[in-house]
Amino acid sequence: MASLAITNAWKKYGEFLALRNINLDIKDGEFVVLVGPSGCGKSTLLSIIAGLEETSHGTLMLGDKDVTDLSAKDRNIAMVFQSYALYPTMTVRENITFGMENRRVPKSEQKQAVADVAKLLQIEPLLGRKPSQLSGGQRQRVAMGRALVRDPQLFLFDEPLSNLDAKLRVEMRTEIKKLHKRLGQTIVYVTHDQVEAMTLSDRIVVMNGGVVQQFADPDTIYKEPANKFVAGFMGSPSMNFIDVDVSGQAGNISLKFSGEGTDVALSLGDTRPELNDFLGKKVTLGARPEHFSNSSIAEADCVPLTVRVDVVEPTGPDTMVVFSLAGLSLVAVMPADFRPKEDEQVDLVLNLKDICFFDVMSGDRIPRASYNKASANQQELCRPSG
Amino acid sequence: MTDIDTLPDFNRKKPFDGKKFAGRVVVYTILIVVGLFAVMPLAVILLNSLRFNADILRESFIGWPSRITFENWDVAWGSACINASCTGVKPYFVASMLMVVPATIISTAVGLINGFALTKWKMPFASVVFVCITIGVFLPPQVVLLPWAIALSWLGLSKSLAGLVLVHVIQGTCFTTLFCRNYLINLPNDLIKAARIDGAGFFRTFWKIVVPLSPPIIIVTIIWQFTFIWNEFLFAVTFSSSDFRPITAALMSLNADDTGVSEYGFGSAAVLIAAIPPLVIYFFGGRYFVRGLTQGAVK
Repeated sequence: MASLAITNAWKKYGEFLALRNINLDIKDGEFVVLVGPSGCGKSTLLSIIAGLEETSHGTLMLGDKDVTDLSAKDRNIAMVFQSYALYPTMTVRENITFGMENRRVPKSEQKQAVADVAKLLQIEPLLGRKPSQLSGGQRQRVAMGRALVRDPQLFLFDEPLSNLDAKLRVEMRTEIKKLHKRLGQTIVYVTHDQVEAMTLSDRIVVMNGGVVQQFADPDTIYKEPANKFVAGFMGSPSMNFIDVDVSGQAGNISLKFSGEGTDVALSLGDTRPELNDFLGKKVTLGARPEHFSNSSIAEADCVPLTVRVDVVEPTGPDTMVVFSLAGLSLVAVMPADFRPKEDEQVDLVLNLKDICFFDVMSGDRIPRASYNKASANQQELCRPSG
Repeated sequence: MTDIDTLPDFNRKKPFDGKKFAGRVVVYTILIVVGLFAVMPLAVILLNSLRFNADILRESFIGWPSRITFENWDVAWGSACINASCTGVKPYFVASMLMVVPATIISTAVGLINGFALTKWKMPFASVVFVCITIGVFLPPQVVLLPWAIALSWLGLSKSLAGLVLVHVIQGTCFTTLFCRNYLINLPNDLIKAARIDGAGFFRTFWKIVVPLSPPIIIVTIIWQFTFIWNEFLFAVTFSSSDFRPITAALMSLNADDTGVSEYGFGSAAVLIAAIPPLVIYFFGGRYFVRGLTQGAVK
């Protein structure tokens, strides 16, 4: 186990900059998830950590050791691949011991280590089989076993669950989390699935275009996204963005937007002093689908809206409603029993308590001037009681 | 329940289509004729090896045996005269074996290592090196004949077994590298990465991961190299001497005996003896040959 510090790391392929000035400080025993869309550089970063690629600039410290120029085989890192990358001609046992063989671990020690790992992952009956005789879930376990057996300083997971079916994926996700809790290893985990990122991680690195957009714990990422990209990428369905005019005066701000003959005004009063600097300008309002509700109770922070329903998507526990408001297409997550008809006019309520604001030009979130944690649960009040 | 318990009628007759039938007849006829043409020389030689030379001379070169004899095979193997030494083709057969086996094994091994280094081991200028090696595939052997003669005399290997093995290893490496590179490029990169992370170096990864996954292409290159080197004539005749002569070069001198009579009988048998090893190799490995050459062509 060890901490990992990446300092000013850049990666250049020809003229293409795959990574730009990456700085990450990963603590000993921390579970860090790298998340981002395809091509954001997360897999490149993982390869660099593994030693499969070299940095074009920058340093990597594993524990107290500078590993920048060490090759993969000398780094004592274990990796689980998306394709599992089990050696097809070897048995499960040979797959697991291959790394120890290469490092000349005594046979008796190997035997003990295989037995321990097999027990931990419940793959004892599979040890004599070839990878082709295993199911997807079993292969996944063996791949993890191969990584675990060596007791490395750092674990890397490269989208390990994306080849599994939905049910197995959720099971394995829980198991990986349990395993981390039990073994307390330092893990860097790459995924494009933001649910995996939110559920597994201690901290999340959101990447886009080779740049770290935000490195923070899941709650912060979700509630206080650094910018519009993070806000839109994390959360499903995605956050709704509305460009609004900031009007009124300091202490009594209201937001206005209009379209298709509808004018909408949201009165903020004095709750968002950070917008004082934007009076007369535009900002982007970010509202998560769960910030809408179908209550008719109008609290101080809850603004009633009349919208036209476009599509109703029942998911079981919730109903997702795609609706139009002033020419914009927005999404709300509603209780399961809320089933409006398509094209019907319905009354929704938007809770302004937790909405975010972004600078229209830079896309950065406008930090809250006074975030009142005592009323953070206000959103619940917009839901009908009982 | 009864819907799936009762079987429907599976024996539906398709209506007869005369045009389609006629088309088939034409296609099959052409194929059969072409097939016969291909088999014809082999059949003629095979039959002649079982006829008495006198019968061949009296009747015709192409013909059915009126009497059958196995004496030709005996003579061809053990006592026919080649360049005034009446030993049959046996020593030349052995000489060919001594040349083909090491040349095939070495060129296959080198090709596999090359293929691995060119595809999976971020070698600098890998594509340039690959192009240079494959030029050898398209170069006519006549072009390299003189350079080889000079090189072999420099090395002191002129007209020797070692010299011919060297020529065939290097000439063959172009082909084996091409084959192996095209096969190994489809090997998942993750396997190699996993091996690196597992602490394996170049040769360990090659030996433990790549070689066990390569039997199809190893078989293909062995068949190819064995057949090619065994049948090869130009180098065999140029770089050999009476001390060491491959069978293809020896066959040329077989007919020129003292009497001046053409010996079609044991000549045919000798040719067939020379053709046996590649046929045996192909017979046992042909399945893999077809599979290996087309592997990766269609996903």
